[in-house]
Amino acid sequence: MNCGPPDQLPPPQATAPSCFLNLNWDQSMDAPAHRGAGAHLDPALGSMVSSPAASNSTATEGLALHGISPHYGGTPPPKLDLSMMGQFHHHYPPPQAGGGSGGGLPTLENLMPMGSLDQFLADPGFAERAARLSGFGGPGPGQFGLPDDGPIGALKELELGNARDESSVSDPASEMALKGAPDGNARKRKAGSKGKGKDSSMSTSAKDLLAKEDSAAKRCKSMEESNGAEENCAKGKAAQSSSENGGGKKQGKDAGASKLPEPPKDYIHVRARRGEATDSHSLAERVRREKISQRMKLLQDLVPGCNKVVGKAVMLDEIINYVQSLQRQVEFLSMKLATVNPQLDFNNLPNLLAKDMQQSCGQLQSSHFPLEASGAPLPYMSQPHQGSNPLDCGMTDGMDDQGSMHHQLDPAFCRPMGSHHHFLNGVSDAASQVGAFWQDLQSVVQMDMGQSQEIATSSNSYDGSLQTVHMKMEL
Amino acid sequence: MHAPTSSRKFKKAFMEQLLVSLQVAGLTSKTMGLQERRDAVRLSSDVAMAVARGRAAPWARALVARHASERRNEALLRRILGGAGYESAAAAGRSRKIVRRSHGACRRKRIKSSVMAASSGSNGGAMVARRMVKKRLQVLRKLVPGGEALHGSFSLLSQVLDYVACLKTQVELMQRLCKGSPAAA
Repeated sequence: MNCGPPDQLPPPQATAPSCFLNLNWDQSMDAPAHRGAGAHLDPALGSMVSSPAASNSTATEGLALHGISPHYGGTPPPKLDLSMMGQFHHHYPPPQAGGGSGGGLPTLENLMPMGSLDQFLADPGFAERAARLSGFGGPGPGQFGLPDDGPIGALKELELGNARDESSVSDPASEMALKGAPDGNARKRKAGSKGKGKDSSMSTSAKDLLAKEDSAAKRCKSMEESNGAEENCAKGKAAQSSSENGGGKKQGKDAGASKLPEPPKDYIHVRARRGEATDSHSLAERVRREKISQRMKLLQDLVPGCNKVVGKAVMLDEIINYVQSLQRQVEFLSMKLATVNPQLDFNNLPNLLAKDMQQSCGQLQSSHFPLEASGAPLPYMSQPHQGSNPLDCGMTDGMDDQGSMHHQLDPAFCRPMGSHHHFLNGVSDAASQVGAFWQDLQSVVQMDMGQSQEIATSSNSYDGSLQTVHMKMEL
Repeated sequence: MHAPTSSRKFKKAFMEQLLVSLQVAGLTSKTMGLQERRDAVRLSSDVAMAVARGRAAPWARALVARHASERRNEALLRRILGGAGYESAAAAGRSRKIVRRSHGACRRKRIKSSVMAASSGSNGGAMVARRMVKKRLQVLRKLVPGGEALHGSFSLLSQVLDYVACLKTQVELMQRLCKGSPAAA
């Protein structure tokens, strides 16, 4: 795509000089004539364009652009690239440069129907690229990326400067823009072409330029890196920034066409923050605040009763209260454990963790709840035990002690457990009355169910009250 | 950072560790008074939580170190953590003490300077709000083990988040133990 076959090039050149030579911008800006020229160029240029660039697929102006880009890196000096002329001007012998730039710039203007500027500007990809010209984001040059950039940037300026009817007046300005914009781009292209250059059949002249502007490339790289660091600051989220930063650097280095979609994203991101202060200190401060507020949000979810609270100080109060209450609870529970278990005899508890939980459960059940063991519910009790172990899919996997049996998700299991509560709390009725108690037990069952669900979701707004209820019951 | 409450694995590890450490504590508890026994239970549950959370969390390290800094816990901790574990924890506790002392000195200076800035500042309401938040963060710093050594509110809040999640699990497991204890029947 870079080098059109030489025999195909003459036609555009043949048509172009008519525009080159007269340099009459006012007339050439004339839409019909211009369209005619564009249409004239189309077939020849279209054949040279092997693959259309991603963004400019619109009718003639797209083709016109493509028509320019094949010249880039392109073949013999006479057909020297239009967009390159502005930038590399000084590297070239005067005759070529003079002839090329003198002729080249007008053609560039002429190839672009001015009516299409709106489309270009409306096209986000173009607008972004044009706007990016000053800020070395390092977009991959792609196939046509950079040669496109210069003209479009210039055209945009032209458009902004009311160029349509005053194009002759703004002629020097446009030239300046053309010169200035690709100049900025040249460095970028250097970085891009380094990785790409070997295989993409760069012409010797382009390589020459590469060698000559090597220093510029280095400058570019350092600037890109600093830019990357800035973006890094702006991003905030560490993971995201690191990934994107890496991506950006890679873009600068190997600049594949696949990387094309990314630079706009970066750019938009930076741009979204343009209204705010952009020095690194305030960026870092903003990032810090963002992170803190994220943490606060997480804490808000974790701490019950904190989500209705407005204001950071009040929220922190809630958090402090909650942490203190939890610590006090731990103290209280350890006191309780020390009291209820005078020998601190937890030797039998690890059995519950063993794989043979089914048997040990039954034993402990009978030993710890002799009331049931003696009564009728025992078969009823042991049967759901065996049945519920496979069903015990919930959070209590493998860590069941006696207490955790109260938290089974299985309702068929929870109900008998609810009966335990009653027995534990002094409702010392005959075990045969379990069936009669059913209505009363429902509330206890509900509590247990609620607690087990609440463990799963770890939203403990219910926990505090429930726990106090248990304490009251048991103390 | 992961939220340990949601992970079943953490609960399981915690429970196992808790039972092991309680068992260890139980070996020496025959002659203990109630207070000592309570402290032993507290210690073992805390250590179990810290061990289950892992050494990556600063608060866990600080919790173990805080317990290790008290002489009377030495025997128990040595048995729970093993000799090497205890030594490292005790060393951390000693160094932490030094850090805390120096940090306190630093903070005194900083508070003075911030008060100076507040009095000269024009925006009174915002300043008051900021000072309130700061005061609460200081309180929170004292509540979370190892909080004094943390700089910046972001790291502090992350630690609080982690610690609260673990504390919740601890309370839950200890409740279960209480319910499951033989004497409760």
